[in-house]
Amino acid sequence: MDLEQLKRGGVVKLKEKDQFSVWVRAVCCNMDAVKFRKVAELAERYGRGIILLTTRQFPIIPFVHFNDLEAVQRELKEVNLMLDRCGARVRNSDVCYDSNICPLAVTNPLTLGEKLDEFWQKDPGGHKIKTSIVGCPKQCTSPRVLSDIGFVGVAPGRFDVYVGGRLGLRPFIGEKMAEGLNEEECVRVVKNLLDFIHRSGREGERSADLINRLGAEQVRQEITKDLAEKVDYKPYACDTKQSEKIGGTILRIRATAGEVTSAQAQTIADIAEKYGKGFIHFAVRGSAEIPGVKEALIAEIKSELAKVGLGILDSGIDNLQSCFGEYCTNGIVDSRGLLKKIEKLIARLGLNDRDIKISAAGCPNTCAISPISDIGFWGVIEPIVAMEKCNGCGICAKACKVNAIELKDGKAVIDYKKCKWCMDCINACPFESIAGGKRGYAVAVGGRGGYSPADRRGGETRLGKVVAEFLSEAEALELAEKLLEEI
Amino acid sequence: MHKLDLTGVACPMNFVRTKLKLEELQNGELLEVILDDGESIVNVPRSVKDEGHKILEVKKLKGGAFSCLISKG
Ligand code: SF4
Ligand code: SF4
Ligand code: SF4
Repeated sequence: MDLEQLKRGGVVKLKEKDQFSVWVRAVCCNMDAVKFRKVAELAERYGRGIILLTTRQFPIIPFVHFNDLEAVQRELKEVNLMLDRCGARVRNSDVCYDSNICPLAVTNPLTLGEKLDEFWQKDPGGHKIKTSIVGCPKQCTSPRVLSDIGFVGVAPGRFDVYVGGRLGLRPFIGEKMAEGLNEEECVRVVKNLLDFIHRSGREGERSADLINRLGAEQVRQEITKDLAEKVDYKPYACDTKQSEKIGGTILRIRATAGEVTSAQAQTIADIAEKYGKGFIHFAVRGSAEIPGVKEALIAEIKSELAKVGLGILDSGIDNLQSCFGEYCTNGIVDSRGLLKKIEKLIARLGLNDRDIKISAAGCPNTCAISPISDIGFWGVIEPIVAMEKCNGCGICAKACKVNAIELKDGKAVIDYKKCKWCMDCINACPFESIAGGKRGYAVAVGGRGGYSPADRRGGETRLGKVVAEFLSEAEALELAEKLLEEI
Repeated sequence: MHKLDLTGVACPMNFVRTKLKLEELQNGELLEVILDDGESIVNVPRSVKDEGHKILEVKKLKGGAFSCLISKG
């Protein structure tokens, strides 16, 4: 096993013993057909024949045995693929579409992405810093909530900058820190933030924590200083960047719960070569997208997709997105299973034309972006301390991200008013002294990731309102039906 | 008893090294790992538990690190 590579991340433990997931980097959130076929082949050979398309816009091969990690990594390298990053590190930038593909783009997000590439290559680790870049104010990849630094294209070569975004137990909507910066200034902002967080950040802090602790003003001053001073960097060349307008339309392939089988992935790769520009784009909600497809050929493509059980998202309900769900070490519920039932429910109700976004995550970390969905589910569990077993080691209190646990008389005591029902304390206690009580789904409605004046239910980025907690799967489905009919 | 000092070793390497060490041992043998405060002490015992081993004891050491006693399961 290449231990050096492991240090950089890209390999994440799953719940089952000795099972890991491998995160494959997709430069500019695109991957050419040859590489995607390789990912499919590896998933078939070393995994369980499935690939997960994540909200971070790259493919993941789940269920690779510890002993096969090295082989997978080596074979990825043969086609010039490398592992993506995870954990407390600077992440690869997420982007929406090339401005030669998306008709709405006012600037090309890929150009800035190429310039920021070096930061994650050189990052020493210690702080999780996600970056998103979008080409217009519609903000398809929700940079204000999904990223520590979000760049929103406002004019050719110009971006507004938002800092602090994150979901999870302590969600934060990024604050606007600067307006209309050029690309060189944007690079400087990222460098400033990295320098600042390495200098002043406490262990594990993210940009939202800096804002909460020091105030937005101080953070703004730090990250917008010396903007005119140019940063030295070597830009990366994105191999799928287009040099001219490509025309045609973007074919969006449905992948419920962000899951495709290896056979389906092979077909997607074939279609990208035959009808598109030879590459696939990974969207936030887990659909696999093929730009540059001729409108007149869509019927033909649909029938090819149907042969492997795939369909397209032509209107209405967006891809139903999940996360690892119950495969994840943090997973509380089978969110992937719930979505597959919701898909059937939608078909039964004949509501496929509704313009809604639905997500379900395995736990309150909400990696499936539930809080910025019209209807968002996530798993919750009630932690209960067995006082007679607790020896007061305090590890649960360190594990709790919202400081809901205090030690009183050498025993852990949970403040249920603060608790977000995430299971971290249950998992962290070395002595199994915290048990799970009731478990089920929390449901939030009305969340939004971006802003588009053209959207029927427009409005700024906002988190959904929690309307129920601890619902059983049957109750969650019942509520989904009611909500679907109302919206 | 076997011993592994993992101070200064970050996640996930601290767990990987613990796992590789445990693989060399027989069931029931004991391994003491020394872990940093923070992420390490929260994550490593948890992953060790997930792999079916048992944590017998956790002690805070002078200097802030933790000693974690594992019985191979
Ligand atoms: S939301 Fe929870 S269960 Fe899903 S991937 Fe994130 S941490 Fe795992
Ligand atoms: S008390 Fe436990 S379940 Fe509640 S938020 Fe803290 S770690 Fe999560
Ligand atoms: S981690 Fe477990 S034993 Fe330690 S204080 Fe918390 S509940 Fe008690």
